[in-house]
Amino acid sequence: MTLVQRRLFTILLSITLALALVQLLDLHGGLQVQATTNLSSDSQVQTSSPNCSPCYSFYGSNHSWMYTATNDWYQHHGNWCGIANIRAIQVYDWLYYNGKSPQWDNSQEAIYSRLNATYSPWGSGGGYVRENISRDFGTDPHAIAYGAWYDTPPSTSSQPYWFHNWIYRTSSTTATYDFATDFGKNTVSHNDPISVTIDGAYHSFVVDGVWATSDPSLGSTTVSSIDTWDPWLNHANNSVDGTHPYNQTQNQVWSLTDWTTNRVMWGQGYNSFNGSDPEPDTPNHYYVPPFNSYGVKYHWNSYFVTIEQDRINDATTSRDYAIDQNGHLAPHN
Amino acid sequence: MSHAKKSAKERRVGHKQLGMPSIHKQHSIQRNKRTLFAPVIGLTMAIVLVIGLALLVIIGHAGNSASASGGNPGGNVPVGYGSLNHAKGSCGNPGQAACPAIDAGWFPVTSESPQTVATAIAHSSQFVTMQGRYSYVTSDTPALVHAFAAHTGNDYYDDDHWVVSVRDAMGMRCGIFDFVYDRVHQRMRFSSYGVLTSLDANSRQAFPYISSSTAVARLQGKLKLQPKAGTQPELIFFPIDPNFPVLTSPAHKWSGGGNSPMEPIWHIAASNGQDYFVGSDLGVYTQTNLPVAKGQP
Repeated sequence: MTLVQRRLFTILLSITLALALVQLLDLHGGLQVQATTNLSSDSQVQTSSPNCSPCYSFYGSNHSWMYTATNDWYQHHGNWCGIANIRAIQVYDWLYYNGKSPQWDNSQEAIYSRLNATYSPWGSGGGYVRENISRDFGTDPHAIAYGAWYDTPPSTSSQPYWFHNWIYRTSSTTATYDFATDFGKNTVSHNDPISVTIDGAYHSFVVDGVWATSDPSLGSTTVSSIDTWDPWLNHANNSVDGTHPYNQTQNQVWSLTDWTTNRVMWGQGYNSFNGSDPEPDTPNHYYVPPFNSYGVKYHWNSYFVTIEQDRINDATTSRDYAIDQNGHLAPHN
Repeated sequence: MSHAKKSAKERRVGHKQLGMPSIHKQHSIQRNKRTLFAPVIGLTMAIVLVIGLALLVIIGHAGNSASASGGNPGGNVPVGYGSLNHAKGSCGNPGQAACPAIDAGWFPVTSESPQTVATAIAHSSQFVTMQGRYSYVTSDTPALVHAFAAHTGNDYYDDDHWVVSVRDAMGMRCGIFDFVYDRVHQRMRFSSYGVLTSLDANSRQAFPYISSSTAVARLQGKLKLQPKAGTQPELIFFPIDPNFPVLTSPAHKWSGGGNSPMEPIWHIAASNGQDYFVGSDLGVYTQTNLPVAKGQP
């Protein structure tokens, strides 16, 4: 009798623990959907006023976390926009991951050092940092993709932290709709902010969301404006030298009209001939143009370029690889 | 994959550094695993897992569990936008319908009265839409900012703008709106909205941040000139030299503002018949001093 009682107790205890475990698994599996539909802390999907027509809602990052993630801006050097962006994405992702900071030096200076500690599989491009695959005067898209991957948390089964350089050989409008799918309840990226190369590649913004008529991550929406964060400015909207070449405020919402037509944003694509942001030039010519077998002349030039968190497993297609608008590997040799 | 492609020489050169990323990520994973599984050990753990898996099957979660196996840390991430061999978006890419035409969101404005403009702005879709997120409750008086000498083909630069700061419930300025004003068609459209934090000195004052009287006083103090009779100072902005952002360019040294409707400068037709400009740095300039873009902005 005593033995039966003991077994019964064990079974009941096991069932209780199993149910608790099921709850745990369910929580992790459904985190993305839960987060957005319930307006929890990792993202914000804000319902607009019923008086508007058409009505737009914001789909994107958590504003409070973005504010924290940009608390060491402005960029510490004139050519550190990419480094400042990596730092912002890093802090944001760690806030999402465990509410803390990474357990290593996460200053812009440390990120700069790490970008000089290694280089691509094809060698270094000879630019400002060794992770560049070009002679970029700052950080090129490859270096930013590497830095974002390196500095963000480890991937879990439900939440990977994979980053790639996306190269959109499309119009600025289509490319905007492409990256807008990062925001909403169906995104893998927990509405992670992204780094967007602007002004012909001379600068980069962090974009943390869009205003749209419906959830962009589900497709079939109309985007009205883009939420940008300019690393040139700090929270007081001051820059290191007093200039405001891009945004007038660190966080500024731009209409899609201006975003896609003003040359300081996406009114022009990547300009590899501006003297600061040339094409790749590594010892191994994997990404050194032209790519004759594809009929593609350039790697970045004239295209719209971002660094985004995505669903492409780093274990099989590492952050070293660039992806095009179709989800294909970018043309290469 | 990238590591596998490195040459032996590269491995030697970058050995320590190349190992760092894996160390950091793996360290965190192991720590999490310990945290998750530490309380559930031994025989009890095995029984719990068996029962748990059975329950998972029963309640229909077996798919998630299966796809997460096999040592792929992200194997159960669903296919979707951002996957390999999957169009990134739903429009404009090969085989897809074109993306929606951009709706600039023009709305009518019947006069240039600031009150009329303020009313039109307050009822505009973007103003109403963003109110919930940015918590503004009132606006200041809109200010007209003229496009100066621009013929770019881009309405942002060629048209005048209305700019207005907005206040939160505490009366602090928490943002600033910029609208393109198409005078010919008596309409406006949203251009941008800038967030003003409490750290921004402009959060304690209405736009424009330099008054016309201050500008006139600067002209008088520096050149002993008055505005020409019958004229009023006007706020202007201009398409700036594209080299303005370039750190090594002489254009980058410009500190007078005017490159944005949100940071305009004052244009004063002076009593000597010349035009002068008072910048956001309170410097007094002539037109030749302005780094206006040549050709397209």
